[in-house]
Amino acid sequence: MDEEKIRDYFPILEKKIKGKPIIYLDSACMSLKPKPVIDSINEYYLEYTSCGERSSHSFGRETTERMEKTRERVKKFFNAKNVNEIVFTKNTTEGINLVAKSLGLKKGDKVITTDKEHNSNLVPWLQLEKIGVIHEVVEWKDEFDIENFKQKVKNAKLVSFVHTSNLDGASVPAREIIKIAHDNKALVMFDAAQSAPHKKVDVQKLDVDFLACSGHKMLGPTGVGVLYAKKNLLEKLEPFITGGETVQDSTYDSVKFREIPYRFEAGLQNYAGIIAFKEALDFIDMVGMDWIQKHDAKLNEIVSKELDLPKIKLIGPENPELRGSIFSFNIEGMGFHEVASMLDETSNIMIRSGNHCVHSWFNAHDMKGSARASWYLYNTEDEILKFAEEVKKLIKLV
Amino acid sequence: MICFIALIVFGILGIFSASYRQIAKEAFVCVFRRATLRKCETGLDVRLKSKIISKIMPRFPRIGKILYKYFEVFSWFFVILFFASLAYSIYSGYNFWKYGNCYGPQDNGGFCPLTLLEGERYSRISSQYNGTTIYPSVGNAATIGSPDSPVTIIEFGCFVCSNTKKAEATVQKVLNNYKGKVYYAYRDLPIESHLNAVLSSEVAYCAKAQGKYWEYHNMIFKNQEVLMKLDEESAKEWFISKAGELGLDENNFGECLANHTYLNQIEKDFEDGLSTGVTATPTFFVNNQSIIGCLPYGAFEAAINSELKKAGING
Repeated sequence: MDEEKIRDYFPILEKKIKGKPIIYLDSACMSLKPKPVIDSINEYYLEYTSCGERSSHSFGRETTERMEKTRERVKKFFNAKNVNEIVFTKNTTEGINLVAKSLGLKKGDKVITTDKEHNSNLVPWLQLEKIGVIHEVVEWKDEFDIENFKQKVKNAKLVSFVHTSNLDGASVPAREIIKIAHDNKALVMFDAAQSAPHKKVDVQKLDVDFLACSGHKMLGPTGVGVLYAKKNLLEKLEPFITGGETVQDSTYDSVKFREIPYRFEAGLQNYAGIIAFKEALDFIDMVGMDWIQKHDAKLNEIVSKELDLPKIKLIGPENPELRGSIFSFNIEGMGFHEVASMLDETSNIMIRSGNHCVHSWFNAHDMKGSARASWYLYNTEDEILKFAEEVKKLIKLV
Repeated sequence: MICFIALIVFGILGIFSASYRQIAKEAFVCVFRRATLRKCETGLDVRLKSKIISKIMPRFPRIGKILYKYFEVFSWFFVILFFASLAYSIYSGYNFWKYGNCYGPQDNGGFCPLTLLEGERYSRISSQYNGTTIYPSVGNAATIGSPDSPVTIIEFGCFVCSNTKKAEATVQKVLNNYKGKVYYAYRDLPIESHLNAVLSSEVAYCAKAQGKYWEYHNMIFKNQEVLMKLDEESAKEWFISKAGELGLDENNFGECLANHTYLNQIEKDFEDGLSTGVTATPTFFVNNQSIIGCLPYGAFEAAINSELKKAGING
């Protein structure tokens, strides 16, 4: 696939600030949107704005049909067995919270996470500690320590791991972890917010029980997420948020919930977003996950080589292949917010700085944060080289 | 410390724009946190630092490097500079209120931007004088007080100059507060461009001949706005009509005006004014110290007190 051809799909990349082009390197937080996604959102609002799943007029039917097409598309994207295993959520955070609040965990049940979890996969478990749920953390250095995991997973009820860390781009050995967890009768949930946009995630092959991801990190609109859950497990979950659309029938003192997945999709949905999400997945498939993975690795190799400097303190594994599409770093003697801010000011290079919602890891390592460049299929080698060049200029300041 | 500077700058800009108001608010939070020995969490300090250095770095990398390294020092320097400027501005403002200049009683005629806000306190005369400068003297002017007083104040004024009129109240205050210590004389320097200026001076001299100078002097200033609107003939009639009201012999008064009896005297006053270096009205000479324009009472007070001090008398 030709990089330039891909970039043509992203109108925002034509934007210039102070006469200079932008270099967007914050895709781990928010991906840019291709034109088909934007057009699809516009189309919903211009052509058939309506309520899905409830209004039977032609607009309503159109919305319902298109929403279900997205569900079908998501099923195919993750190779789920059944379409009703796909629950639309707001984002990964909501997906994880849904499982945490609905799984029926009780006093003495053990949940394990890694030490690199986003707050979204940490705080829900910390809250459950109040009712006696035990939360344990598995340390994960440059390489995942399987032996340590084997010890921790014993008697665990749930393993809730980040698939690819937004902190440093490193990924856990998913299949091995799931197998070990299942051997120990533990369920497994993956936070796939960073992995789903960048690598093939086959839920059947992985045999993962729950998997949550966000549309906005995979070219889709904001406010759209997916929770995949095995059908038998989803049927056992108690609805987390209830109300409109979740109910088949109700009296003043009873309720009968709808079938899965609808019982988990309370209230009026983000129809425009969900429908447009299909276009995002189509686009990713058009480019191809293999191409994306190779592209990510190539860019990481370039930036890692260019910035292999004494003043650069890299976070994560040395080997760029293990860091996917993320380059998290600090410049010795310079604040990470300063790095991000100056790159933005001097060259319109947009990167993230701070704790990246992984405060716990930074606190444990006595660090205040880092600067993080993260790319996606629309970034080019030239952009990465420019980023490296500008970082080198900053180094000269200290 | 950059947030402190930002608070001032964006606080002022915020008066005109809401977007700057938001930055000023952030700066305030930042300053408040720093003042309570906590870290600034708004990130404004980092943003400002980055913005400033990013502007400098591409063109002047070495300066950028120095600025980055010592940014806090530079920030402190500018904060101190700001406070010093603020203190100096307050001091100048006080001087302006008290003495009519930015430098206090020892003003050496330096530029004072505050005067621009208020407009000129004097009216310039267009005549040029290239001869030798002489010390001012009372001449044949009307006077108040004893010639033996330790301080002599000679005013060169124009009856139809608004600034001379404005100075009248201050002159009265000076005469009241320094009774017995000040000998005051008013000399005519009618500005050519002012309508009825020479006529007013003639009127005053004619009234002086009948012992009613100060009555006419005060009456002219009181009716200055009326006079400024009348043509010469109408003004003359108006003056003669007032003569009766003030108990003057109207025939003598009219004759005095018709014959321009004191025109030469007025020209002498004018010449004397120019030869003492007067370029604007009103100009006061407090002994040999000059005060140009209708300055506040404090300026006179300072000059008189210093002259009294020279004479060994407490003000």
